[in-house]
Amino acid sequence: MPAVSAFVRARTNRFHDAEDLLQEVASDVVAQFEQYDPTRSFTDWALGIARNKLKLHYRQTATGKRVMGNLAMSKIAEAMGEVSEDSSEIAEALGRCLKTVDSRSRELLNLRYVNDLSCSEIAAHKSATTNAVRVALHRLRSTLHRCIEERLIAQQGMA
Amino acid sequence: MSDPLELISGYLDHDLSDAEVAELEAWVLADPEHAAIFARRATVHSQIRDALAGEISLQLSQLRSPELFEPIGGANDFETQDDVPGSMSDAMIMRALVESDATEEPAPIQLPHNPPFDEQPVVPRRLFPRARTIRMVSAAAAILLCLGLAFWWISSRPIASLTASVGSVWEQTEKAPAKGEPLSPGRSMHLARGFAEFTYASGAKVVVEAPATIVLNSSRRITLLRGRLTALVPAAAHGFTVSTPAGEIVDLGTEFGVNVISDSVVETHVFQGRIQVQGKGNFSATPLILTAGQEADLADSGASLEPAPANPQHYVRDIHQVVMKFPTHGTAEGLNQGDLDPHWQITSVPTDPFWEPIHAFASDRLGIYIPNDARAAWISTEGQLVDVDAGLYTFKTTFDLSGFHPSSARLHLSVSADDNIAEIRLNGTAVSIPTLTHGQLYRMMHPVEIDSGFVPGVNQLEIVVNNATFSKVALKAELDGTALREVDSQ
Repeated sequence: MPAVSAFVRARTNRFHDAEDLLQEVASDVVAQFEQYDPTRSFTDWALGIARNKLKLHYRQTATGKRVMGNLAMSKIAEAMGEVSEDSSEIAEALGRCLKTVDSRSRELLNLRYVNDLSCSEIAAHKSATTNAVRVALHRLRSTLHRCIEERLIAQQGMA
Repeated sequence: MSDPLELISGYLDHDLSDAEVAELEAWVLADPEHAAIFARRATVHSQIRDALAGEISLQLSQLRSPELFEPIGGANDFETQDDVPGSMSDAMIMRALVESDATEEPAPIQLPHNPPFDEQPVVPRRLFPRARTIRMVSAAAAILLCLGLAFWWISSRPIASLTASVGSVWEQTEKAPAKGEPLSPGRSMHLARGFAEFTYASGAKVVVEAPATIVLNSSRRITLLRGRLTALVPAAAHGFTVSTPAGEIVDLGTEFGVNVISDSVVETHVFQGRIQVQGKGNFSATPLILTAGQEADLADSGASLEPAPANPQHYVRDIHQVVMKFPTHGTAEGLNQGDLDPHWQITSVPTDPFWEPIHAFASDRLGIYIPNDARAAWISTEGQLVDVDAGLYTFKTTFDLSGFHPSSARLHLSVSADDNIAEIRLNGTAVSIPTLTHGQLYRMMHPVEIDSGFVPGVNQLEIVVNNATFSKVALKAELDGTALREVDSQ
């Protein structure tokens, strides 16, 4: 089920908007629960509601920004289902990895993930170029991913 | 070819050009393994937000109110359910939450695997530590956890606040919202009296009229279980939905009213713009689209257009700046002793069943009476106080509520009488009055609050004064009334 939030957040410009949408998805899931067919996958059903919300959202806030099409998103949604099986391990590893980042990286993460700023807004804030911010975020994410993978492998080794 | 991982990173930051998005899309479609890499990156992206933003809001809430943590114990346990025997599907958790929300009691949940050896139904303690906890975490908030929001902070993020109220009285005062207080999804409230305006973070404005029971579900949804509301929805909040027991009303850019009379009788009226109406009985049917001036009835059988729409003025659409004094007159207000009071009559006296109403006189007063003032002075049967028969004397005034909402009216009355007040009636119905010490009544003014029983148009207020012995009868009354002015329909 973490699939749903990852799915919505990957397609929404601001975390704030994504979380509004998720609240709506949650309340729709509750409101429409009577219509859920228990023989079908609950995750798929909830993802369907999330996708409808996203469609509506994009119709309302036509930002002009291109997003990936339905086919690619459905492939990703499928893959999300599998990732979500490991999500609690990933989250735990991430928590530890986040403790290891230096203060500059942590500041960048805070600007992006807590203050919900875009790359260009961070660039303006830090008197840097947008491209520099984009590259820095990419490197930081890659570092975190490597750290998470190492921890997961180490954990499997222990088990 | 760009580095796909860099493209994913850029996509998550919404920082790609159209050409780059197309390139990434082609890459994702090329190989299921690519989609999996994207999914993993997107999952971690989402988790970083949970981890960091959750951390901050946790610190903030610790500063604010530690008791907020009550439901969190439950929420976090939810995430670490690995030591619960067997595993529950999301759908099962959902069902449990929906049911427990409906009954306000945690339903015992039979786990799917490893049934216990005894026959007792198993309540997984770690999921539902306390009945109170589950009541505090609404089903909608809890489903967010199922949806993968690892931290409670999103479910407790405010969606709306109370921005105005008029004469509001809330049942279950511990749940009563304070003005400006940020309200979280799942908050349910019962407005016993008055009017309340909620402004959603999405920009939608809802005016609720008592008696009403509502649940704030999300930034674009409100459940109205009973009562009346109007919603003004700006473009940014289109899709705003009012859930009722008989169906749903979805905004398509508009202002509309909803009146839940019972579980199976709901009316909705469009003031401007369009709404979509769907009866619960036939969710699969094509929804009804209503435009300005139209009204629909929702019932178990579905939604139908009402051929004779009711007066939209029944709905209160704005409670700002419209609470006004309605015209009333105190006894002998602005008169000199001996004048006839045009606004107060004596409609009954003892010993004369054929008494015709007469206007009261601005009278003199005994030295022991509370003094006259600009708002009110003593009135009696004559300009000069004389001894009259013992018994009940009825003094009557009227006031006109035309143009006001009677249900919002409040009348503050200050009265003093010789000898004492037997009864006060509004439109023929007795209102409760404080027990007044006999014989001391005329030394001071006594407050009486009236907040119900008002009717549209002309209202009658009767004050029945008891003359205990053959002696003087007099009354002094000040009136101060406020009500919501009816908002013109456009």
